Amino acid sequence: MFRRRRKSECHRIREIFAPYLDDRVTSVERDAVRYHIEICDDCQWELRSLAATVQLLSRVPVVAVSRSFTLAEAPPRQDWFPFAVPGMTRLRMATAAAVLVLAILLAGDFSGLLHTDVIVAADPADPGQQEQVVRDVEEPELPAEGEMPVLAVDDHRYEKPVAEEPVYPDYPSDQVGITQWVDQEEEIGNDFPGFVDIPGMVDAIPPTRKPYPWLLPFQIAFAVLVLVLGGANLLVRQRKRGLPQLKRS
Amino acid sequence: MTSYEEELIQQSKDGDLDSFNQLVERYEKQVYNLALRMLGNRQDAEDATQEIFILAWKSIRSFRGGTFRTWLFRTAANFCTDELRRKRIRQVDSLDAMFPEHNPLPSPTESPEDHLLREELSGLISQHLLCLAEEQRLVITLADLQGFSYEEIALITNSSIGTVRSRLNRGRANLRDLLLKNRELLPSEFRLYK
Repeated sequence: MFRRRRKSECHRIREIFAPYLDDRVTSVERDAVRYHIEICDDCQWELRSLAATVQLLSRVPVVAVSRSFTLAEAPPRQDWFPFAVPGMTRLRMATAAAVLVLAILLAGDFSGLLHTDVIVAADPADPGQQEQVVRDVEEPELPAEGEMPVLAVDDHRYEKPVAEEPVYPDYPSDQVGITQWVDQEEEIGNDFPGFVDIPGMVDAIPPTRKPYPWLLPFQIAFAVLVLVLGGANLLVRQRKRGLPQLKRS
Repeated sequence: MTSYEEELIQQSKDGDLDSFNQLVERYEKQVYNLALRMLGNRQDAEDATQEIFILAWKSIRSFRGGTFRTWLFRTAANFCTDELRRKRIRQVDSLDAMFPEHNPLPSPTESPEDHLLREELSGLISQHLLCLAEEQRLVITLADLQGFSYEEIALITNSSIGTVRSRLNRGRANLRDLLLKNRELLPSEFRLYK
């Protein structure tokens, strides 16, 4: 029973050896340690050996640094972008480029520059050709001089009313002023003898302009890109606010 | 912390790199020695020291009063602990780890023999320090090699003073046991026999 009691006492005293050696104990703890090591050889040796270890550690020299660890400001980077603007990072350049492309796409859309002609096919019996994009329509061959132009006649849709051939002047004259002459021409419309009918296009619905099918996905993609890059710009600006960039040596 | 140091810290917070570099010059030796004792070789210690100061520069605005040295060493201790974790994954060992440092020139006051003995002893202690558990190594380095108080160590390691005392006690006892295995290499006054 006494041995067990002494063992727990030794354990308790050894717990405060480190602060005792560093003079970080209260006077009561100091007296307790001093009293205990007088009666306990094991703890006395333990304390002496720990004191020797601390002394050995104090002999370890401080190692001199072989180089300086001061930080240097990074020089402005040579940007790969050929038209780099001074003071603009790659991220900013990319954002500006994305905004520019998006603006071009939107402007082209609104102005109709990026639209194409679409007509409905003349023959509804052919469902595969309900819509047909007309591009590069060949110029029809004009009839030779002196020949009468042949008006296209729809043979299976409806009876085309035969219009009376209007009398029209070839040019404004003293009797017909310029305004009346233009009005007459408008009345005449497509029946004007100079009008050349294109076979197969007589009954076609007049072409409407629609945007290219790739335009909308591109607009959406660039809008998303602009948002992402803009957000990244804000984050980077907040992080690096005021701190110069560093150079690793 | 002196008022001049406070001034340097404030200027560093305002983005003045020159002021921060003055702080670096004040503490680079201590930080390097901590990194060397923790990581065990010179190259890793140099890289770690550089990274620690870069980290400190980036987060200088998060320093809100208190002791700058404690704040800096907390950054250093955390970095070294993370680095050891990464190293354990990479399992990179080098011969440098066995002989962590050499001070080539003896001081004018000691003989070449004493210098050699001191170097051997230093190498032996460094080698055995690396065998200790990380938290014990950190506490011993801070307390016995760098002279930090228990309160400062508690702040650096983010633990209680009781934990610091306990780690220091166990760490010293473990180091002593390791050193006693190579008793013949110790100076005669330290060859303790039971």
